[in-house]
Amino acid sequence: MSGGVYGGDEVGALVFDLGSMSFRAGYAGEDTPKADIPSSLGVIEEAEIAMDTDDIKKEPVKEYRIDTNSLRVPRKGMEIQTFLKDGMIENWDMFEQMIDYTYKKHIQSESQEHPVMMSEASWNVRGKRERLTELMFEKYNVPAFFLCKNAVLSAFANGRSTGLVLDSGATHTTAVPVYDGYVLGQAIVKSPLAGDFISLECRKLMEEVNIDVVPPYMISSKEPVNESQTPKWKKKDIPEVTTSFHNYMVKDVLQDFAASVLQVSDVPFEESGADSMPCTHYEFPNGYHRDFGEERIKIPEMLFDPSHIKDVPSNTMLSMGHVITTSVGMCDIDIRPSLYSSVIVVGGNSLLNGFTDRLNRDLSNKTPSAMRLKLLAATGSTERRFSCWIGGSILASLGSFQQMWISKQEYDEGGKNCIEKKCP
Amino acid sequence: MEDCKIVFEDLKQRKKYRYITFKINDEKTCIEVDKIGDKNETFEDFKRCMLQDLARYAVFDYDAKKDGKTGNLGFISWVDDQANVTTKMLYACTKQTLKDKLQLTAEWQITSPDEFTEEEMPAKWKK
Repeated sequence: MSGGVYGGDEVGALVFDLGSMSFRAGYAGEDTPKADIPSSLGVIEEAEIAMDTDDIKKEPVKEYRIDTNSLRVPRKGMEIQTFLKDGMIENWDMFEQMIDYTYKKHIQSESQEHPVMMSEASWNVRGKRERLTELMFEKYNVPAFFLCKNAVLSAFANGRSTGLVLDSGATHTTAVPVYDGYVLGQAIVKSPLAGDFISLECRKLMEEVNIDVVPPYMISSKEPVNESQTPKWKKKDIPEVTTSFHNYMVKDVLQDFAASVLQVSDVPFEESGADSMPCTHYEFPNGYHRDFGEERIKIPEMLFDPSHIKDVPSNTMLSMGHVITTSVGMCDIDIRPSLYSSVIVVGGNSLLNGFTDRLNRDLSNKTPSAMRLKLLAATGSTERRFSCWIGGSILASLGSFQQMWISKQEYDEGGKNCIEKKCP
Repeated sequence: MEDCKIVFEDLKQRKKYRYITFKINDEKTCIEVDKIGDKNETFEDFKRCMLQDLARYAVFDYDAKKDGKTGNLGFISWVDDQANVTTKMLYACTKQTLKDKLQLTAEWQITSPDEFTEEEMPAKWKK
């Protein structure tokens, strides 16, 4: 490392955290990210542009709509897509668009002036890591770069270098054991029971009880109606939208529904006890409103007891507690106690009411009684959603971290392989 | 950093102290020795000393009376759950540096006062 180039807090490093729900970006050392951009992009393909008379068949021109404000405007033919698949970057074109946009609109600075620390899925593969390194150095000319596993960042942000990180996000829930700051890759366990699954189940519920979920973009005006009455609302004059756009907007409503109505029951759910549950009132964007009783318990119960899921053989899914016990079970017996004594719960889906209480209960039933069990979860929703970003932000600003960066010089000498050595 | 090593050797080789606590200095550039526990202090004294602050590292000699045995020495990282996230992060990711320096592998991480009891101490220290 060329001595003293990056000293103390003044490096102005940027931290990028990729989540399947949103992309977080901001300066290292700050408490919250500057930008929280949806990971979904609107893509408009303009297939026919009769400009060139050449016979060369042109690639369809793609126009991208990024960030909440422009993403949510109904446009003809705009598809909603995401660049991530299974937590890893899949569509590099869209990813570059995203980075370009972030530099231009949110960071408002030149990429060659800031080192970049980026989070990655704990199971990221070598090819993708190398490609990302190459992209950052070659295209964006960053002076230094670092990749850090998101589970490690979450663990550090909770004051632990050893622990089991349960990340319940949008597309999946994962249990990742971290030992002495390193991810134990062979013991990662994933389950599709997460935020998107909850949204899907809410949607099924709405279909069952005949509630038409109308997203706000379709509504021009509405009138108050009595409970459970047919809503009175007028449709906005909008262009014809794609199914993916409509679904995205519906999902948004359902996420709000999930956050405000759903409740994880403290004890395993039973039909008989459900009647005594207090109801919660919810009003949909189109003015329809009613009480929700046992449904609010029933849906999140599926996370903890997959046998409640319809249409799916119950033994194919892992419940939240199972994800953890399976993962710990794959680790060396000597380190199991230290993993159970720091189970770190992060991710937006874990913010469902009662999630951690129930998880605690399930786990204490599944673990040997002599084993000390401790669940750590940040209390604030910002901390839990951004735990990984905050971790990266602090790490990148620490004086002792500055020697860890892969510098431009190292990259030029060692090529993209250096990522495997410097960021294990 | 070098001071830490020297003081630690006094504890390890010459059994001079019961425990040593370490902290990260205010400029966040270096780990330094915070307090040194006298030989006849007990675990409870040690605990009291540690809990005064939100985050510390420490080396504790569980059974300093039996001479010549170094197996009962352990590294402790104490980071209160109440501490702010910067402190947590700072102590969690600096830990390895100190552990490497002192060449200690056994570790006990504590994040709340109720875990800080003799019963919770990893079994191998009590041999």
